[in-house]
Amino acid sequence: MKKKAKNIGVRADVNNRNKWCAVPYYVWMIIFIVVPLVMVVFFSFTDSDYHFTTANYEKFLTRGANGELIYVTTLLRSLGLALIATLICLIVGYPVALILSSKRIKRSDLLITAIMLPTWMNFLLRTYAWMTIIGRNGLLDTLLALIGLGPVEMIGTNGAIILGMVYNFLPFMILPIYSVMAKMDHSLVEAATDLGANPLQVFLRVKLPLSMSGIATGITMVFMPAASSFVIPNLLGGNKVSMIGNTIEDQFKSAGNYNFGSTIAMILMVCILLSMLIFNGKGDKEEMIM
Amino acid sequence: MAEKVHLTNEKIIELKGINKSYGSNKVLDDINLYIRKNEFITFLGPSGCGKTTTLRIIAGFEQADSGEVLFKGKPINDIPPYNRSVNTVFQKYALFPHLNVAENIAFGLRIKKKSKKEIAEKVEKMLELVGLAGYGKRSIDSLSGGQQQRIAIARALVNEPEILLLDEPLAALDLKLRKDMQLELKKMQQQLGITFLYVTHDQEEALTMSDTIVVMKNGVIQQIGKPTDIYNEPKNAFVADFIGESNIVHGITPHDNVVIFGGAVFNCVDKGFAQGENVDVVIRPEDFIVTDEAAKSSVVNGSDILRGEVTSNIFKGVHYETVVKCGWYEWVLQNTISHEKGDRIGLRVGPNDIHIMESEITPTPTRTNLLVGKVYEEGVVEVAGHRFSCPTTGYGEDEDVDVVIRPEDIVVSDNEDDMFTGTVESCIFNGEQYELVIKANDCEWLAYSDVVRDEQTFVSMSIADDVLFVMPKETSHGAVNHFTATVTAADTIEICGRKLKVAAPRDDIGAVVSVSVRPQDVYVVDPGNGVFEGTVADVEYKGIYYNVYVDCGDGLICKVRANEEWDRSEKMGLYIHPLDIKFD
Amino acid sequence: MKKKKNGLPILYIALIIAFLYLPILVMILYSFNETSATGPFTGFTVKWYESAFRNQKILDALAVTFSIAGIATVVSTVFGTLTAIGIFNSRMLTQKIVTNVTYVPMLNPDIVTGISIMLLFVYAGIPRGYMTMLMAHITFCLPYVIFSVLPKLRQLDPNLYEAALDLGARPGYALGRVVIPQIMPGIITGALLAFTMSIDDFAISFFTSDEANLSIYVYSAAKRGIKPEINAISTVVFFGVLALLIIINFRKKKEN
Repeated sequence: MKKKAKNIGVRADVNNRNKWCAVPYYVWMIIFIVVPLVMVVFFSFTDSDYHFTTANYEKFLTRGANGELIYVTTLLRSLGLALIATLICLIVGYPVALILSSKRIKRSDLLITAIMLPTWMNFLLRTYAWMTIIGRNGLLDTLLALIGLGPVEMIGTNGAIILGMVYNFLPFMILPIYSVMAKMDHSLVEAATDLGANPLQVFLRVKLPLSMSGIATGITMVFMPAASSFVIPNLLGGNKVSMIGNTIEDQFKSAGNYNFGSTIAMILMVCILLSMLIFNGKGDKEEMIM
Repeated sequence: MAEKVHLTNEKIIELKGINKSYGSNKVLDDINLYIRKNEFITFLGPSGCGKTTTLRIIAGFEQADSGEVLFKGKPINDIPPYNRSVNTVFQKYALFPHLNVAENIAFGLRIKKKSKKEIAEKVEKMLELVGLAGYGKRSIDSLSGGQQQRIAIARALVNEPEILLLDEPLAALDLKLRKDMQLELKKMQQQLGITFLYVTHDQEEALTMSDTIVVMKNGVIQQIGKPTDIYNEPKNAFVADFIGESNIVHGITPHDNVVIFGGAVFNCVDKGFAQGENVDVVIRPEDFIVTDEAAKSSVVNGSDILRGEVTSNIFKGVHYETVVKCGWYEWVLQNTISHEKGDRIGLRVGPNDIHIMESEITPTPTRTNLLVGKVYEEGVVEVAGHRFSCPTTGYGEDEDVDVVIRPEDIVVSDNEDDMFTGTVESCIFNGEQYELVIKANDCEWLAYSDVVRDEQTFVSMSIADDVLFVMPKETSHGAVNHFTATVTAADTIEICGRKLKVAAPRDDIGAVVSVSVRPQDVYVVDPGNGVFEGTVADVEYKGIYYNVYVDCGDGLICKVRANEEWDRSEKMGLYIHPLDIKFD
Repeated sequence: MKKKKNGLPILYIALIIAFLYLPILVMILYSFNETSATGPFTGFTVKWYESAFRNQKILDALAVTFSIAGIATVVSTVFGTLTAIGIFNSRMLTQKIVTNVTYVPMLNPDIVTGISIMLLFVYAGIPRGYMTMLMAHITFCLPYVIFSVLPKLRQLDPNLYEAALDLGARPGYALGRVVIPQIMPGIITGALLAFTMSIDDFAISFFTSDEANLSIYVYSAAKRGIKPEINAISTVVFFGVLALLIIINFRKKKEN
C-alpha cells in the first residue's frame, strides 16, 4: 500500500518558491524516462523508415519450421517458468515469514537481515555461483561421483532456470509477507483464540487474510523480474533454453532490429502489467527500501 | 483580568481588507483590524476560524489574496518573513532538534552576525528571563514540554522583535503548567514592553491575559474589544456562547427596556430594537438570582419570575452548577447554595445582566399571498376581480378586508378557461419544488409547481373557495381588542378587576373609557407572569398566523396573534406593554 | 508455562538460510582452490586473487563499476534531495504526476528500462560509453533517493523551516542549516541504496554502454565458462557488501 503523506495539507505560501528546486528533475525525467518509453512505443509501431506499421506485431506471431509459434512459445515459456518460480517462492517463503513473525522466534530481525543479505550481493555473481555448483564437473557432480552417481546435466534445463530464479528472488517473497505479518496486531490472534479458534482456524481466518497484501507485493516482486530475466537463462540455461528477455537482448545486441525488439518489450510490459493486475499487485516498491 | 497597561494609540500593525482562500475554501473574509504598540492582543475562536492564518499573514508565511498588511503604516505584503521584525512562537515549538538549547536561542543572532561574546551574553540573559539558566548545553530532546516552550519563547525574544506572535503556545501543556505560564507570559510582556499577538481557542486564557480580544468565526471577525466588554456585552450569540458558559434563548422586545423570554417579562437596559423584534438573549449562569416561586415582580403589567424544577445539581468546587427546567427551557445557573433535585424554585435576572443581541436566525417570514379584497355581498368576497363564496360573518357589505391565499392552495395549469390567466414572472427551484411568481389580474401571485416553467410564458391558476382566509383590515375596528376600562389612577386603568398600567397620564380618575389593544401587541407568557390570566378558548388559522382567543374570565376575551397553534383550554398569561394600550 | 516445540520451524529456517548461503560459501571456498576446475578441493591458494588483481580487464571493470557508482551516487543524492524538496512543495497534482512517472524505472523490468534508454542514445547520436552508462545510472538511482527523502520531508515539522525564516534566515540558509540536517537520515539511506543499486546493476549498463563494469565482465566471462578469478573477485565483493551492510545497520540502530 502506498503510505499516505502525513501533512498533505495546503502548502504555505512561503514554501512556494522551493517548488522550483524540482524543475531540473522534470527535464531529466522527461528526457530519460518519458521520451525513451515513448520511443519504445513509437519503434514498436514503425519500420526502419519510421513508417507506421503493425508488421512487428505480426512478426511476433511468426511460425517456425515445424509450425510452432516461435516468439509466442518463448513468451509463454518465460511466463510459465516465472509463474512456477513464483509459486515455489510463495510455498517455500510463506512459512519462513510466518515462522519469523511468530512471537516464539527471538532475534527475528537478525534472521530476516540474514535472509536479505545475499540479495545485496551482485546478482550476476550469485547466479554465477550456481554455475560452480551445478555446472559440468561442478560440485554437485563431484559429490554425486563420490556415491557413484552422475554426472547429471543440469545446466540447460528448465529446472536449472527455475532454481536460479527461486534462489535469486526468494528473499523478495519473504520480506513483504514478513513485514506485513510482523506489523500485525498480536491481539487479533489472541482475540481469535479467545473466541474459540484453533491454531489452524487462526491461521486460515486471521493471519492468511491479513497477510494478503504482503503476498500480493511478494508475487509482484518475484514474478516481474523473473519473467523479464535474461541473465539466468543465459548462464544457467546454457543457451539451450531461451526466454523472452534473451529474445529482446538478441534483437538489440546482435540482430540490431530495434523495431521488433521494442515490440517484444512492449508485449512483455503489457503481459507483466496484466499479470500484476491479476495478482491485484498493489505492491509498493517503496516498502522494499529497507 | 488583565492589568491596565499604558497603551498609546500608535498602530504597529494594521490589516486592511484581508481576504484569503485555499482553493474554494475561504478562510479569511475581509479582515480589518489594528494592533496598538505594547498591546497584548488575542485572536480567539474555534479551530478553523482563521485566527492562525491571520497570524501567519502577519508573520509573512502566507500571502493575503487581497488586502494590505501595514507595519507602522508601511505596507509589508511583499516583505519575506526573514526581513520582518516579527518573531513567532509556534504551537509545537519548532525547536531545531539538531541544535542544543543555546544554539537554538542563538540561531537568529548568528544570522545577524553578532559577535560571539554578545551572543553568549544575550543567550545567558534570555535563559535567565525564562527561568532556565544553565540549560544552554542541554539537548532539546532532554527538555520537558514546558521547558521547550520557554526555550521557544527565548529563541524568539532574543531577536528583540517589535511584535511577538504566539500561536497557541500553551496548547500542549497540562492545566497547571498552562496557568503558571499564562501569568508568566503576561508578566514578561509587561516587563519587556513588546506587543504580543496571541492566538488561542481557550477563552479563559484570552480573558486572563489580553488587553484586547478579537473573536473570530469562519474567517470573519465577530467582535473586537476589551475582555470585560466581550464578556459582558457580547455582540452576538456566537460570541456569548464562545466566551464563558451562557444561556442563550430566543426573546422578543415589545418596546425599549423590556424583553420577553422564557415565558416571563423582564426589564432590561437595551434599547433600539424594533417593536416585536426577535432577539437572542444571553444570561450568564452566575447572574441568576434564586427566589421562591411566589416572589413579587417589579415589572409593569407582567412578572419576571422563571419558575421551574431543579433537574440536576453538581458541586463544581467553588460553586454548584444547577440545571432548572422551566417549561420548554433549561437554565444552567451557578450559585453557592445547593438545591435538591426536584426542588421547585423561581429565578430572576437583573436588568444589567440581561444581554440582548440581534438574532442570528430571524424566523423566515411566511411566504404567502396577502391580497386586498372586498365583501361583495353576504357570503361573497371579491378578490382580484374574481368572486369567491365564503363566509363573511362579522363583516359589512362593501367592507374592505384582507385575504390570505396560501401558495400551496393555488393549482397551476395551462387551461385557457381557468379562473386566472397570466404569465410566469420567475421560476426558482427551492430544493423541493419550483416557486413561481405569476402576474395575473394586476397582482403578483406566489404559487408552487412540480415542473419547471419558462419565464414569460402562459400559465393559469385556479383557487378553491374554501382556501381563502378572510380577515379584517388591520386598521379596521374589528381587528383589535376593545376593552371597557375604569381609570383608577393617573397611570392605571382597571379592566374587569385587573389593574393595568398605561403610558399616557389621565386626569379623569373614575371615568369609564374604552381602550384598544392590537392582537400583535399582546404577548403570551407563562401562567402567573401576565397581567391577564386565561385559557385558550378558540384558535383560528389565518394563513400566516393564528388568532388565539383567550378567555380571561368575567366575560373578558382577548385576541392574541401567535405564530404557533395553541391547544384549547391551555393556560397562559398575557402581557401588554403600557405603551400599547390606546385610548379610543 | 508450557514449553512449545520450536525445533521444526528453526530447522526449516536454517535450511532456507543454508540454501541462500550455499552458493556464496562454495564460491568463497573455490576461490582458494588450487586447481581451476570445480571438481574436488585440491589445495589452498591465493593465486586467483593475485591474478584477478593483475588482470587489466578486471581492474578496468572494477574501476568503471566503482567510479560510476561513486559519481552516480553523489549526483543522484544531491539532485534527488533537491528534487524531493521541490516535489514536496509542489501542488498535489504535480506531486502525483511526478511521483508516478518516477515509479516507472523502479517498476519496469530492468531490460525494458535498459533498451529504452539505449534507443534514446542511439537516436540522439550519442556514442555509448562511460558517460551514457553514468547517465543511465543516475536515472535509475534518482527514484531511490527521491523516495527515501520524500517520507522524511513529510514527517518533518513544517514549522521548522518557517521558524528559521522567522528568525531571519534566508531560504537557502534555512534549507541548508535546518531542513537538510533533519532529513539527513533519508538522504543517507537514499545514497546507500543508490550506491548498491549502481554497483549491482547489469541489465541497464549492458544496453546503455559498451564499457564493461563488473557485472558485464562476469557475464561475458561466465558465458565462456567458470573462472576461479571471478570467484576471487566475488569473494572480495561479498565481504565489501557485508561491511557496507553492517555500517548501514549500525546507523539504523543509532537512528532508532
